[in-house]
Amino acid sequence: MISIKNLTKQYGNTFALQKLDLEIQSGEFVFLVGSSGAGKSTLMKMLYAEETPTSGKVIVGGVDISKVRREKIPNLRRCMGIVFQDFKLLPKQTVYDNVAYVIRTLGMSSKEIDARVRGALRIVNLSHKLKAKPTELSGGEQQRVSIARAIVNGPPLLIADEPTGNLDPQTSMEIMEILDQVNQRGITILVSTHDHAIVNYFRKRVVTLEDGRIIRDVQAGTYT
Amino acid sequence: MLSSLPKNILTELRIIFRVGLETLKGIKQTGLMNLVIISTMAAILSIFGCMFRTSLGLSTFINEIGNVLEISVYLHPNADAQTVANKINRMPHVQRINIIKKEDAWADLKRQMTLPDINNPLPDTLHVKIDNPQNVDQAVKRIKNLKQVEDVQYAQDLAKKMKTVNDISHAATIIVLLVLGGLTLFIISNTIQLVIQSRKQEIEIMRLMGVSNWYIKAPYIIQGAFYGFCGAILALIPLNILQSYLNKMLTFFGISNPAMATNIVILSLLIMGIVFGAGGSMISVKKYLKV
Repeated sequence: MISIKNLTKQYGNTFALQKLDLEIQSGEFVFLVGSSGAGKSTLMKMLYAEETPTSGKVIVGGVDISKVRREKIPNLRRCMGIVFQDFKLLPKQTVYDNVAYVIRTLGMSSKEIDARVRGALRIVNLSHKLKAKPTELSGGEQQRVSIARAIVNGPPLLIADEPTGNLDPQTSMEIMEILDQVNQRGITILVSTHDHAIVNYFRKRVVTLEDGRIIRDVQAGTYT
Repeated sequence: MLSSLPKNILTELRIIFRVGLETLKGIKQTGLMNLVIISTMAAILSIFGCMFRTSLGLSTFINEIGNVLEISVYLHPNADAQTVANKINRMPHVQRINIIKKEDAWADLKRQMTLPDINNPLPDTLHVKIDNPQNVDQAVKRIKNLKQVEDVQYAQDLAKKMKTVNDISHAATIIVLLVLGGLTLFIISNTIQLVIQSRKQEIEIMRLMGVSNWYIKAPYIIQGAFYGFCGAILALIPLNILQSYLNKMLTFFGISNPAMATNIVILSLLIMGIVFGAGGSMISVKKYLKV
């Protein structure tokens, strides 16, 4: 699903990522861990083409992202779900509208949109909050809406950049449970985090970054 | 993975409908500013429309007056009037020639005045009509070159003045078009910039979620075009008032109204409003909306 080869990202004289190699297979659940400034977010941004590599290759679903033309980037992003630490929900729109937003722009019929939105909200256990505005929801609920929005278009890959960064430990655990369920539906999941408890609890593949390099890559690993 | 969803006409129509809704949302969010922008656009387009319409009316007026002008060509006593008339008739811009035989002219003069019984001193004369006052000078030069022609007379100053007024009128319309066009672009681009700034967060989310670039940009461009269109419609009111005055003036001088002038001006106003409105938006979208 993801193939990163000799990837380097440089900002001026600072290296955010250095000669990084990483392979993630379809259906995997991978934690990307490391302290702040290790390069986790930069790597995540590379995957959804928000940043471009200084050198090396980032291949997602067989597509070399560095070669994707600017106008084709939205197509790429629609083929993956993205979950952010700060949820990035439209505050004036309801839960339903937030989840439906992107698929509406694709010209789907109301019937299809309705089925997809309700299905996605059922997965994140928010079927009863269709008409609520994000401001009326707790942080955990907002992140669940964000996950529903990420999966509504049926992407093969979901990228979550510090999805529990703004949440308490119990809510964080609930969010990870949902992501685990999503993974069991066959969607590849890549989660960046520095939450030890979560990583140690789920025992998934753990890739550790430090100073822009991968220093550890362990199956069923823990946060060391 | 990058293969896009199958598209059919229904899908496209739904997307267009959604873009329309996004545009309406943007207009709604702009609130009372909409009225200010549309009024300003209407004022600008009114000035242009009135100038353009006046210029068209003036051109017709000048052409009509100019067409009444004739060049009087006096021939040498031994010249054959018909031969010279044929030569002049072949010249460019010549519309019509009347031959006034010296005998007829003398008889006319004798009818109007008491004259002594002397030999007819008048030459054969040709009255030449030129298609456009602007071409009179050129025609006179050509006619003077004919050896059978003794003298040529025409209302030289009047023709020149009319040509100047016509030229100034056209130039003023073009200058006004350029200045007001620039002003329109400036106003619309600034307004759309404000709309973009107020929806910055929403745009950012749309962008990250993979909403297509044109879907994000199109509503702003349509919103600009909408302001231009509404401004042009409002500008038709003062244009209509001016129109009635011009009609009265032309009727007073016995000149028919220029064909299609009003339609041309209305069409120009709508095109100018929409093109400059959308153009102003595009400037802002290009500058402030990075997707």
